[in-house]
Amino acid sequence: MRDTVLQISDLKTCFDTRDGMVTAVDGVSLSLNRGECLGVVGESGSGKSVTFASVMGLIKKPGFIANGSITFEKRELVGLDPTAYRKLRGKEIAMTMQDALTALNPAYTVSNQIIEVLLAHDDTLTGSRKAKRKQAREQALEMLKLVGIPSPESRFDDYPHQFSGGMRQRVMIAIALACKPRLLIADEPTTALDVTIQAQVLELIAGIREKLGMSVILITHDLGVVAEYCDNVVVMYAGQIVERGPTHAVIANPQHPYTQGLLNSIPRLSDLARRIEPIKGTVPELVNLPAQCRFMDRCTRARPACKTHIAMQDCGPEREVRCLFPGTPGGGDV
Amino acid sequence: MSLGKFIERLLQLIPVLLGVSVIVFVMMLFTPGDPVDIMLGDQHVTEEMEQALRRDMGLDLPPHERFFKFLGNAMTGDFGLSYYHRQPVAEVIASRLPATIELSLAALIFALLVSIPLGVLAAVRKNSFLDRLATVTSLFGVSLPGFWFGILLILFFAVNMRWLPVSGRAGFESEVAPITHLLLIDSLLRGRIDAFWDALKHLILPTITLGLPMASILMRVTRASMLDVLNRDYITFAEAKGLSRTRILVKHALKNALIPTVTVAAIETGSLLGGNMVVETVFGWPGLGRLVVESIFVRNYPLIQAAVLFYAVTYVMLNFFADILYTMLNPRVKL
Repeated sequence: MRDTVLQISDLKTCFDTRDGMVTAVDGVSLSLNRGECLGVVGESGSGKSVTFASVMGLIKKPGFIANGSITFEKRELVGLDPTAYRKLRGKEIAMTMQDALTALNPAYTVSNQIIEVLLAHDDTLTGSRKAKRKQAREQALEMLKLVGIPSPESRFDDYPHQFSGGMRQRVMIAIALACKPRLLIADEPTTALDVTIQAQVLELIAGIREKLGMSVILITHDLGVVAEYCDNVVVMYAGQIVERGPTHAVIANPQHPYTQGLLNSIPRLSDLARRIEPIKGTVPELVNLPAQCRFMDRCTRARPACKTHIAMQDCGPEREVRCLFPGTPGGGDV
Repeated sequence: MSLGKFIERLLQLIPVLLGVSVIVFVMMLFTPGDPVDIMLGDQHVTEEMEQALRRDMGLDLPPHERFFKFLGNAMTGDFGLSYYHRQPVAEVIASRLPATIELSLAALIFALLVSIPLGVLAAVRKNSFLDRLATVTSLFGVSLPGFWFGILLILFFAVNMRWLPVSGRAGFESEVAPITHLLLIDSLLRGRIDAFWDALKHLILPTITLGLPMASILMRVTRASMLDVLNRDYITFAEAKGLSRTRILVKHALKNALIPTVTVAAIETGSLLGGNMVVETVFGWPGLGRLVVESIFVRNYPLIQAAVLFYAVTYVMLNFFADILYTMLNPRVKL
C-alpha cells in the first residue's frame, strides 16, 4: 500500500528579474511516500532548493509560483493562506539548511531557539506561559539528547558560536525535528561539514527517520550520499527533472548523459588511473530558454532532433528520463 | 565585563583628557581677543587697575605656568573661578547642566523613537512610498543646518501659529522646587501638571531641531542593517520554523539589526553635545551649550577649559556605554 505524503505536479516557480523572467523550476513533478527517503541531486542553479522552498512556502518577491500544485497529505499548499501555512511549517514540514552557522540566530541561545519552535506549535503544552515554557524546555533537552549532543544540560544555554560545526548541525536538526514533523527537507545537510562528521549527521537523520517514521527529502549534489541513504533519486538540471528512479538502478545504470556526467566526475579509489571527467560548460541561464533539450550544449550525444521540447519518458521499472537518446555507454560501471 | 576592564577604561581617560586640555589651552592662547579688554570694554581705568585685574585672574603669568597651574588645580577638582560669574566654574557648569541633560535626553529619545520604527518599516517595505519618503526626509534631516532649521520652526510654530513658545525653558509661573532639576520630571513629582505641559511645550521645538539629524542618520543605519539582516539565513530558518511575522521581525531581525544602530547612536549622542551649542543659542535654552558659546565670546578661559573637559569625559563614557550595550546585543563579543 502506498501512502503519498507529498505530491508535486507540474510545479513552475519563476522570478521576475530585471534581466527577464527566470524560470527556476520548470514543470517539476514528483511524489514521496510515507517513510521514504528521496534524494534530489543537481548542481548549483539546478532548481533543487527553489523547488523545496516552494514547498515550504518561502518563495519571496520577485519570485512566485506560476503554475502547478503541491499537495501535502492531500492538502493543497499552493495558494494556502499564510497563517495556515505558518502553522504547517516547522510542525508538519520542517527544513534544515546548508550551514547551521548562518541558519542559527547568533543573538539567542540554543535553548531559546528550540523552545520557541515548541511554543509556536506544540499543542500538548499546557498551563500558564511559564509552565508551558518549562515543559518546552524539558522537551528541548530531550531533543538535544536525541541528536547526540553530549551533556546537553551544560550546553543548553550556550550560543550557536560556542558549538563546533558538527554540533551546530545537530542543533539545527534538533530544532527542525522538535515538533516531530512528518516530512523533513534537508537542504545540503552535509556540505558545510568535515567528511567524518558528514557520516555522523546522515546516520543521525536516518536513525531519527526510522524512529519517527518520517519522510525525508535529501537535497545534495553528492551522489555518494544519495547512494548510501536514499530509496529513490531525482536528478535535476536547469529547473527540470532529467532522470528519476530507484537509487540503485539509476546509479548502476544511468540513462541521462547528465547523470552519467555527474557519476563520472566522482573520484573512485578502485580506479585511480581513471581520470575524473568534468562535465564541460555551465548550466544555461534560465531566461527565455528555447524549446530544446537544456543539456544540449554540454552533451556529447546532441543531435538536431534534440532541438524540440523533450518530455519525460519511461525507461525501465519506475524509471523516467528526459532524453531522446538515453542509455549507458559501456554499461553500468559502478 | 570585569572590574579590571572598567578600571582600564577609566585609565584610558587620562591621556585623552590631558590631550584635550593641551589642545584647548593652545587654541585659546592663539585666539585673538583678551578677556580683560573685553571685560573692561569702554570703561576708563588706570594701568594699575588693569594690571590688578589681570593678576587677579591669573593672566599675568607666562602661558606654560598658567597651564601647569590649571592642571594642578584641576587634579584637585578646582577649575578656577568663572571670570564673569565670579563663582567656581564647577558650580556654574553644574547649574546649567540639568537643562542640557534634559534637552539631550529628549532629543535622544525622540531620535530613537522616530528612527528605529521608521528604519524597520522602510526596510520591510523596501522601495515602497514610505521607504522613499523616509529616505528623502532623512537626507533633509542630515543636511539642514540646525540654526536655520530651528529658526524656521520658531517662525512657523511659535510666531505664525502661536502653538508653541518662542524660546526659553519654562515660563515664570511654572517654577517648581527642584528635585532632579529636570523640569519634566520635577513638575510631575510635585504634581504640577500645568508646569509639566509648559516645560513640554518649551521642549518640543529644540528637541526636534537637535534630534532630527541624529534621527535621520539612525534611520538610515537601521534601514541598511535591517535589510542586511532580513537576507540572512537565520531569518529564512526562522520562517521555516513557522514563527509569526512579528516575532521574526522583532526578535530575530531587530536584535541583530540594532547592533550597528546602537554603536552609531552612542557616537551621535556625543555629537548632540556639539549640536546643543547651536540649538541652545537659537532657542535661548539656559544650558551648558549656550553657556559655552557665551564664554567663548567673552574669552572666559576657565569655563571653556572645564566645559571642554566635561564634554571629553562624557564622550568617552558614552563610547564605553556603547561597548557594554554592544556586548549585550551581540553575544559573540566579550569585553
